Amino acid sequence: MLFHTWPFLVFFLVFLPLYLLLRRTRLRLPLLLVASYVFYAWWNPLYLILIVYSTLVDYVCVRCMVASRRPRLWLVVSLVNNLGLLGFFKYGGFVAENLNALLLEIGLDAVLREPDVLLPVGISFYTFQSLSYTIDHYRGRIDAEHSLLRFATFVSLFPQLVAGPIERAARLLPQLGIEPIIRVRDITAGASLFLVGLFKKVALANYLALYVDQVYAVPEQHSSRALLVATFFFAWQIYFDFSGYTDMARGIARTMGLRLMVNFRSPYLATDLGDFWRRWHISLSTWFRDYVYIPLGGNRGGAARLRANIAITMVVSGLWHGAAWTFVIWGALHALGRILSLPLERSIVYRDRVPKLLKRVLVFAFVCVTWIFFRAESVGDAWYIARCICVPSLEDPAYPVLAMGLVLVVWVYQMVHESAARPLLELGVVKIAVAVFMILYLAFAPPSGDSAFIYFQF
Amino acid sequence: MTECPENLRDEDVRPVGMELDLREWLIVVVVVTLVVWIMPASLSRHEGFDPSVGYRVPYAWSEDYWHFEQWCETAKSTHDVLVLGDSVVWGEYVAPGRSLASHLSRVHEDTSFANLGLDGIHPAALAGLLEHHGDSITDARVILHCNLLWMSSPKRDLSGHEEFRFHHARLVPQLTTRIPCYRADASERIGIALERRVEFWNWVRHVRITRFDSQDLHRWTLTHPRLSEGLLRFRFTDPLTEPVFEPRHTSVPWTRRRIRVRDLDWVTAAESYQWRQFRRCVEILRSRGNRLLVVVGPFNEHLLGETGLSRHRALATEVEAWLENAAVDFVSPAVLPSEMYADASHPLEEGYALLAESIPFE
Repeated sequence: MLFHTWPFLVFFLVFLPLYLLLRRTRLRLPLLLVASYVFYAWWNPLYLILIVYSTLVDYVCVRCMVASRRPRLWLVVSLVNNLGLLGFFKYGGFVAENLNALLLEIGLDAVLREPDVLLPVGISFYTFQSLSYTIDHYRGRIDAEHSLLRFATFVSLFPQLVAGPIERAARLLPQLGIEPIIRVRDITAGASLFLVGLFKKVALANYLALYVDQVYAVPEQHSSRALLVATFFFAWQIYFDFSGYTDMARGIARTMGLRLMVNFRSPYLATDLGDFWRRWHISLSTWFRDYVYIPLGGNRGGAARLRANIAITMVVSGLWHGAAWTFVIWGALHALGRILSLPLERSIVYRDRVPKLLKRVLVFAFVCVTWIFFRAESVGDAWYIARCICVPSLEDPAYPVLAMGLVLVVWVYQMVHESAARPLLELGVVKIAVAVFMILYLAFAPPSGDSAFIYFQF
Repeated sequence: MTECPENLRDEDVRPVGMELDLREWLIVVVVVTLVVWIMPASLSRHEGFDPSVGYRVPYAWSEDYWHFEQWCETAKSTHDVLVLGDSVVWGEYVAPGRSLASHLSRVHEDTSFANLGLDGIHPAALAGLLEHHGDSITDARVILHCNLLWMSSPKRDLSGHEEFRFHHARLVPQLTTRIPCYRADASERIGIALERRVEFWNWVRHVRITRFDSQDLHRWTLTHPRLSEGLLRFRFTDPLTEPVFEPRHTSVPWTRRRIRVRDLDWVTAAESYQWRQFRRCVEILRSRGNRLLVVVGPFNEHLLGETGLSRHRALATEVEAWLENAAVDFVSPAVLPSEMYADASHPLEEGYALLAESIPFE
């Protein structure tokens, strides 16, 4: 059930009045949990087995941590269980495939069977969310949750279940524990967020995908300019797709009196790579910061250790996105970029003398290069595209000017949003005009298809 | 009780994008409603529609039901009789102006007949078309063609269980009746059910079909990427230009098409879904005060084997019996000579001429 499809609208129109009616009663959480499970089971009812199992194990682990003298043991159980599930479902095929290739290389005829299992939608998201609870409890940052019902709702909350934002127990569990106050402002703000998200997904991401898919499917049949434009478009497609989902998720949650964290802050306005990661998929980058980078030692322990920690964190982050070498290279490139640019970013010349616009363009260009590896069908394709776009060509890339125009309008909108002229965008007449435009555009231009979100595959 | 926990910082909950308050939302709703309400009617008035003599809905616009409504309204005011049906009425193997309606106009000189046929419109779709887009066909004289071909197999009858992509699927019941071979997902079904109730979306579909080569704006800009060749030149108010007719088939008899004599897997009237839907068409048209004449067939019996022929005749008899019992005027023209058929049900031009002469009309 995708947010931008009719079944979800029907589901939500049935759910919301019930939720508003029951929000002051004990039935609120059961309703929320049942709705979340129905939402998840819509893809495949079998997925429920996994999420219920994962929920029970982490709930029991933390209860045992409280009662046990060896809480570390229960943390290990939780880690092994969560990462084991993720490893089996997400990386089983990848590991088997690479081991088979290795065995063949050294002359052994043994073949490991690749697990023939369906990757459950959103497993990477709810596994990380649940894991943050056990780790934070072990570290003494949060109390154990006594109510299994509340914990199960925290793990499976439908607005952010399948593609985040990856909430922390410290933020979301307390919200589930209190009676929500839902004012008209929450409903209107939620609707605003949902509209923006819907526009980003349906009018922008899906539009750009038409060109990107066409070019990336057979890169060798397209000119270097077409590959360049497709890469530029993909950078925006993935942003609109994922941030659109997040906006819709946050909007839905807001109408229910729940506040989900901001996941994107105009990432293509970043002025250095560190800034980029503070703006892009914030819930994941802070997760890796708190549970991988800092435990590894963070920036303590000298320059070499810092570089190693950055490299490990970024490569693991790349692998989180998918079981393929293209994602590993994507993470490694970001690590390399971050390590190489650190001294530059810290220099006074870069900080004070280089114009902001130039910094933004440089960061965006680098990020675009890394997106090639993220999007390409194979490492070979990615290298081909990366090489090809360096060779100038005069061939017409035949990209839709309308799509380019829409992207540039959004870019300028974001720049104004971060400038002193921001009050202009907050004028009632401007907001009304933008909202009317988005609704009419959505009603007129795009197809009525229901293409899935890119991040669902992760 | 607090609205949100203390550990949520301001910047975490403050929207990055725009946030409209209730008053602003109300204004947006009013403006959008006005635009959606006014735009289709006002733009289509400018668009103009001036059908040529012997006009029929062009093949490329077969699924433009907004245009069908336009044509119904025009035809009702300019013609005496409206002829409804599938490609047999539309004229699959003949040029515009050579179809059954044109020949009827020739035979009955003082009466003009409008071709309201649509390519591929089987009875289930026709019932949906009349229900949702045929409001203007009221108090009119109507000829409704009954093509028994739609009952010649469970697949055509839509009663088969194997998934089957058929024409005009948007017109069949989406949420109320289950058609076993129709497997659209819930999202598509709800979307279609809503679309046909909202005039604006019908008009959007009309614009896509007539202006954007039956594509949505996004896909269309992929093939017309430059603004100069696309959007800048495009205006909703440009006159509607009828696509140039290009014959899709050669007009030769069925015997020269390597069509073999066969029996076909006829369904019975009692179990036929399409026959139920045809009866629904009759009821809709009669309930709107139309004077109705049903033309049954004539099916190309020359290509039927012995078993097929007897099953077809049994079915035709059942159909005629129902029409008689329901006091519906009908005519069952004699089977045309073999060489006047292009296939199982479509006559060639001479066939239409002969058929027109065998349909009495006062």
